Amino acid sequence: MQIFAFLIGVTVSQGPGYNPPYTGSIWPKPQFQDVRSEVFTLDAGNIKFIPQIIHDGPECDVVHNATWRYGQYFKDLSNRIKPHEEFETDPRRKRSLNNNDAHPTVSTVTLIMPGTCERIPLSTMEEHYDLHVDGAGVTIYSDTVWGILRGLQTLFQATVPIMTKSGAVEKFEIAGMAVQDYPRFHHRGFLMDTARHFQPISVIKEVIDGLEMNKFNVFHWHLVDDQSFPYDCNHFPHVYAIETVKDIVEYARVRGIRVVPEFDTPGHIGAAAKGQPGLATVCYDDDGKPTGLLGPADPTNEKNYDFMRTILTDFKNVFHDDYVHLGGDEVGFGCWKSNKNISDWMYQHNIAGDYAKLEEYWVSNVLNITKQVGFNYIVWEEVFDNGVQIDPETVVEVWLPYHPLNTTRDVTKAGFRALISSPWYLDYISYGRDWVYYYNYEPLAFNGTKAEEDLVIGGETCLWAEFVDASNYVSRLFPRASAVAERLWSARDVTDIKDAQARIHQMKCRMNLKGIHAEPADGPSACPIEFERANY
Amino acid sequence: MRFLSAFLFGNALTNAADRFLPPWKFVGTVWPQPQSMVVKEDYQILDANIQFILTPDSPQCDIIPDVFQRYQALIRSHFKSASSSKKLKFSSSPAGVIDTIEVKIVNCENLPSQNMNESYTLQVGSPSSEKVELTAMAEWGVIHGLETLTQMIHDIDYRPSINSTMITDWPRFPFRGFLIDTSRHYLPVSVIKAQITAMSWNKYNVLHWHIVDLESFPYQSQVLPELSFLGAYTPLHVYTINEIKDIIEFARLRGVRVVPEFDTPGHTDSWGPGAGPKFLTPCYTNGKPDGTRGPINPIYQENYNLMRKLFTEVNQVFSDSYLHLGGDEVPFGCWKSNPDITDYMTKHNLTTYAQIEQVWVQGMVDIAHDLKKNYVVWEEVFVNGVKISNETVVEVWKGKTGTWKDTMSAVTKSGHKAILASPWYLNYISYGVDWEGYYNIEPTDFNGTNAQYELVMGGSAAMWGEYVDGTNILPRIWPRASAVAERLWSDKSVNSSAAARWRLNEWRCKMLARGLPAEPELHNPNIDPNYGYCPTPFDPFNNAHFLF
Repeated sequence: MQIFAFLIGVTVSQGPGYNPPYTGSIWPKPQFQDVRSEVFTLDAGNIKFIPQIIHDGPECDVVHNATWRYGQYFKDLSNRIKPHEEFETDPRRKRSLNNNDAHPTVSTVTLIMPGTCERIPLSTMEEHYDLHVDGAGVTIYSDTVWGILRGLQTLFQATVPIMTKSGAVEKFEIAGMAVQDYPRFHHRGFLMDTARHFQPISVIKEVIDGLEMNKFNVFHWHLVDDQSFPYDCNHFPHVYAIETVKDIVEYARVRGIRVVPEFDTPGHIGAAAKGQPGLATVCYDDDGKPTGLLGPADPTNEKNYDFMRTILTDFKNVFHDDYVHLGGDEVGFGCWKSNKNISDWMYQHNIAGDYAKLEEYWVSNVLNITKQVGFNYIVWEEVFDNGVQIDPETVVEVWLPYHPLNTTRDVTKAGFRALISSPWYLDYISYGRDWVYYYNYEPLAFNGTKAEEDLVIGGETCLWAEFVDASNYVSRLFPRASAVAERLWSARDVTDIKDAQARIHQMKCRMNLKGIHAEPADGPSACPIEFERANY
Repeated sequence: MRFLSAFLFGNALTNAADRFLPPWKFVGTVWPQPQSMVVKEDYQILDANIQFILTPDSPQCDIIPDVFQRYQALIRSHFKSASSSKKLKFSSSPAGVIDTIEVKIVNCENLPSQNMNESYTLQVGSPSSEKVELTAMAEWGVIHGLETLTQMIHDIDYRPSINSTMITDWPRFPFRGFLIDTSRHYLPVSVIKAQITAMSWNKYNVLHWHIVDLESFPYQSQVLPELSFLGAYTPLHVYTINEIKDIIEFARLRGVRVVPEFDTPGHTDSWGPGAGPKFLTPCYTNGKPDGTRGPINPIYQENYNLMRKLFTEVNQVFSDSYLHLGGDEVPFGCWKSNPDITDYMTKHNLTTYAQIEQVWVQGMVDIAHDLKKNYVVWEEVFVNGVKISNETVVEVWKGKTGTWKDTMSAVTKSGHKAILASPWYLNYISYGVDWEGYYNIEPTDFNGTNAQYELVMGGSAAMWGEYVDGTNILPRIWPRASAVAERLWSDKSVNSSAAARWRLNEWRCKMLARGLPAEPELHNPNIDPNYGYCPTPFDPFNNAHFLF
């Protein structure tokens, strides 16, 4: 039997774990939200979107795609919810879940966008929006298409399905409200590792749907690692064709999500090395014989820089983003040390014995190539920790679990921009409500100056794929990643766990209705319509 | 019988414990490992229109048409991937083409039960290279035999094939249970069915349905409808009697028993609103009722009457001869605080709270007796010294770090049958590979006599429902529960997780191909350089129809 984890003395008429799932609470919590007492019926099946775009044109396709999509979402929502099969004949169940008062109807959503449209989300994207709901209808105002997207998601979440006695959705209601909203951090990312386990396209798209609902704006795609090189290469059976990658990038683009690819060097290149002889360093044993193992990239082989140029140019053509992630984590020096060609080369170049300098040689060459190709870049923190000389515009991603606040302080003190991921490795699972720990981490609690704080551009939550594939991927990700989403979007003082508990549960149910496998991360509970695999 | 271990491609597998063995050598292996399995190198290819026939002397068991249909579909699914357009060069030639599976059944049992006969023998390649001969004492052995046979299929030269094989197989323990909890989270009927299907594939034979608990009461009684009307999360979060009967029939067709648990007198908060004001004990603080409620109040006859009414219905709905009466974690604090209970105890010369617990438990046992049900209780009923009759089965759930051994020893010493659950609470998750811990448990690893070991009926794995619902329960259970399945089915000597790991990897891949979302947690690819991917990565749109 089970240890009492949730002993509650008093029983209420609906189970103690039950939270009414549709109060129209927003996740992540908006910066300002004034909910009024009036309630309107939203004619959700027939919403009329009225885009008022001053400089409309083909480059504004993100907005037009969004009005079509959100029209679909509202319709799908009402279609998905079906009465239980025995419901009609069972008088016991005929109990209204909500009252059914009549309210004035609104049916228009006006999207006001005075700025010029951006086709592609970049690191410079702005996401501020205003949302108003009153008797005249819904109005979303933003300077950018990205703000319009975020406002539409807020509208979707603020809409409450009202269920009839038979369990079907009869109508949707929305409270009168004024929302002013913008993200606290610019870079709100999720790292998807498709190298350790291949993740099918359907899963990647489900993930991106969830990212959009949580207002994440960066999909950091860890494509290549020691285990596989799934990026259009013949050596492994499960690869993504270029067309597939482009399809994903497009899917993310219209949802206001940047796709930042990572090509991790000089370590973690095991799989790429299999297709590229000479890329990896040959390791030797104490007797000077090759061990059969391959180490990090060989910085002394000039051909490898041509290879990097080819790959990065390829990336630039496929991924539109202005950033690429160059990795740089966990570079072991042992193999370099074992290789005589490398020691000879280091001797010739007056860096004998200084392997950090050798790493720096590789990194600075790759950084130069990257700049020439037209990317800015992000690196894992070791590049900074190891004292490799890097350009001031380099973004340093803090990921090591030891004192990440200290590292953040050091990185920003040195004048670099910082991205935080240490506290948000979702692959490390444990029993219970671990989302609370992710939620409680405050990235700016490092006693920095205002200027140093400003250098923290955001964070990323990571789901390394040692133990996840399509069978369990999305349920492991959401809603635990939602905790990070709110930390990165909402104001610093949004820290009330009790308030967050009720809302994150509602968010889970909302994601379920959207077809996303968000798990019950907060203990016993129920959604009005439970998620079924049979729904596929 | 002595356990004979034999693998396909004998030569390649001389170093079976070698962790670097590539996984494709394990195609055609079986999980859980049969008691006796002799595999030869010659093989037969399968005919795509393979027929299932019953021998003329076999009785017509009513589940058999459904069983044949299911396994015919599963076997035929192997032909989807085989490419006919490829110009094939055959590296070896088959000994024959199997077009018939001939099934002989000795006796129909109709209902799976504690005494169900699950044994079978399977012959491939001889005496006939055109037909497989499967002989079972009862229909349950047919299910297990066809499952084993289906797992043995592997492609040779792109053609679904089976090596010549002789198998004699039976379960080590008669009770191989899995607990689901529909109180903490409601599980849709389709999810419960998928779970039963996966259990059947893994040769589990008991679904322990922990149907209600303090959080919610989803059992929709017709005689006491207020219980779920007021105790379920919402009036929609219920199982109707028709739905339950449908689930039980679904399970029967797969050789799985459904044993329901109505846990009393603790864990009953959700009963309170529907069961009336006298049902739960009012707790007192400073001599006054403080508004909170404790366990069921054992001093009122009405409460026993209510239970009798409920169990009379439950007895009709659940056909299994066993009922789980719960009895765990009864907190005595509330009873101690309540003056009416103190008075009652004084009046009846009861000096300990275990004695008043016994009053309640005795009431439940009497009802079970009258309904001719056998029953299982959680270990506290035994440990608290509640007097229980010898036929009571005790389920040991505490002490997962090892003290369960003492409890198992004590329970069996006193002559009770025991079910072990402690080491197999799969809801407790941790980072990384944990199936080996479940696999390495030996249920008879406690101080006792042979007679005591004979009293170990089996074991039960559990997925308590605090953090699982339809979104994540299946991948959280599978393939970790497969480790427990082998422990409970296979011979005691099949106990090396190093030898089992690639066979289990292969089994996970097969479950994925059949549409079950079994998660990848068998190896750490950072440690295993030859980490194996499955030939078909899981796709939620693929083959899910095999589950329902």
